[in-house]
Order: sequence, then C-alpha cells, then structure tokens
Amino acid sequence: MKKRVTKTAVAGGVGFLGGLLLEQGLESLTGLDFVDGVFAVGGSVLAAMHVNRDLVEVASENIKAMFGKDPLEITEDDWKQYKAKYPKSAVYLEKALGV
Amino acid sequence: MLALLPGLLVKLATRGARRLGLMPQSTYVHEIMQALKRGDLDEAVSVYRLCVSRRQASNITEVARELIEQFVDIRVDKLQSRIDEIENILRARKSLHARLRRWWARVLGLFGRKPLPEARCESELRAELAEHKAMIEGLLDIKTHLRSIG
Repeated sequence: MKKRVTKTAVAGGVGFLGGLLLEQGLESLTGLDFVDGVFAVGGSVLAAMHVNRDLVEVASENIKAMFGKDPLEITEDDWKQYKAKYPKSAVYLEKALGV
Repeated sequence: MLALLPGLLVKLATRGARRLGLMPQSTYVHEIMQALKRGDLDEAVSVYRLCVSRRQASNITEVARELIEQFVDIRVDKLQSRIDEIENILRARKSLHARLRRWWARVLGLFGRKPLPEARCESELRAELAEHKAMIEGLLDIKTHLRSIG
C-alpha cells in the first residue's frame, strides 16, 4: 500500500515537472501565455493518474465507517460480507492492493 | 491580450467537454471521489450522471457507483440507528412508570409549575423521527436512480 502510494506520488511529481518544462519551453518558443489551458488539460491528466489512489482511499474510509475498524483489521467474514454486497469494489480493491 | 487567446480557448473547450460528458471517465471518477471525500453526495451523484450521460459506464465508473452506494448505505445505517434510538425512547415513555411521572408533573403544573418539558421533547423527537425517515427514503431513491442510469 505504502509502496503504491509512493509510486503514484513520484509519478505525479515527475509528470508535473515534465509538464512544467514543456510549458516553459513552449512559452519561450512561441511567446504565448497559455498557462490556463495547459493547466486545465494537465489537471485532467493528473486526475486520471490519481483515480486509483482516490478510489482506494474512499473505499478504505467506507470500510472504516461500515465495520468500525481499519481495513487492515477486518476479518475474513467482514471481507466476504463486503464482497457479497459490493462485488466490483471488492475485486477492484483486491487487484489494486495486490491481495 | 491575443497571447491569452489559445489558453482561453483550451480552457473553454475542456470546460465544455466536461459539461457535455466528453472527458475521459477517469476525470469524472476523480471528481466523484473528491466529492465523496468532502461528504457532498449531491455533487457525487450529479457528476456520476454526467459521466454516464453519453457513454456506457466503464469498470472504474461502476466501482465509483458502488462507492457512492456505500456512502448512501452508511448514511442510511446511521439514520436507522438514530431512528431505533428515538423509537426506544418513545416506547419507554409509554411505560406505566413514565405515565405516572407525567401525570404527577401535570398535577404539579396545576399549582404553577412550568409546563412539561418532556411533552415538548416528545413532539421534537417525533419530528426528528419523521425527518430521518424521509431522509432514508430520499437516500434509497438516489440509490435506485443510480442503478437505473448505470
């Protein structure tokens, strides 16, 4: 989990720096200021990158609220109950967390 | 001024595409997750509707829908437990002991005591009960609606 979050954060940082360099380069070449537009598109790209982390975070909060304990502490029965009720989320979480 | 035009155009185009449901589904899913983190269910549902307005829901969008449903279920559970609590209080008030206490308080009221605070409280509880039941109905409607549009 920690490794995955770190990887996503690093990828986001690298993407941001890449976008910044590209933007600076284009601005200096063309002399045009298109900060707003690039940020808007960049936002969408970043959103796509962060979706995985967001889903896991929200699911984790939901599990906490449902069972009153941390997702790492839930029992197999709790998990089966969750999986029966929300099959797609459970499968997604299993894949995302490599369970 | 002219230099700002390309940026403005791109910004307008992305905004328009978002409103028309043309952006990648992950963009909308990200927005749904942000709304859920803020506890804004209305926003999450409206973004979900936008997301599936033009295209069939992808796997990740289906997961987002289930997460919204979980959010709804959690709220319904909380409201239901409060309803149970209120119903227990109201049931306890129907006991003989509680009735006798109220009757005694009413007798004392005849001699210039304050009006019964419990009676006021009961009507407030009943109002809260009705409000919570209506909220549960609304939440279940949202859940049904989500399933029908998904």
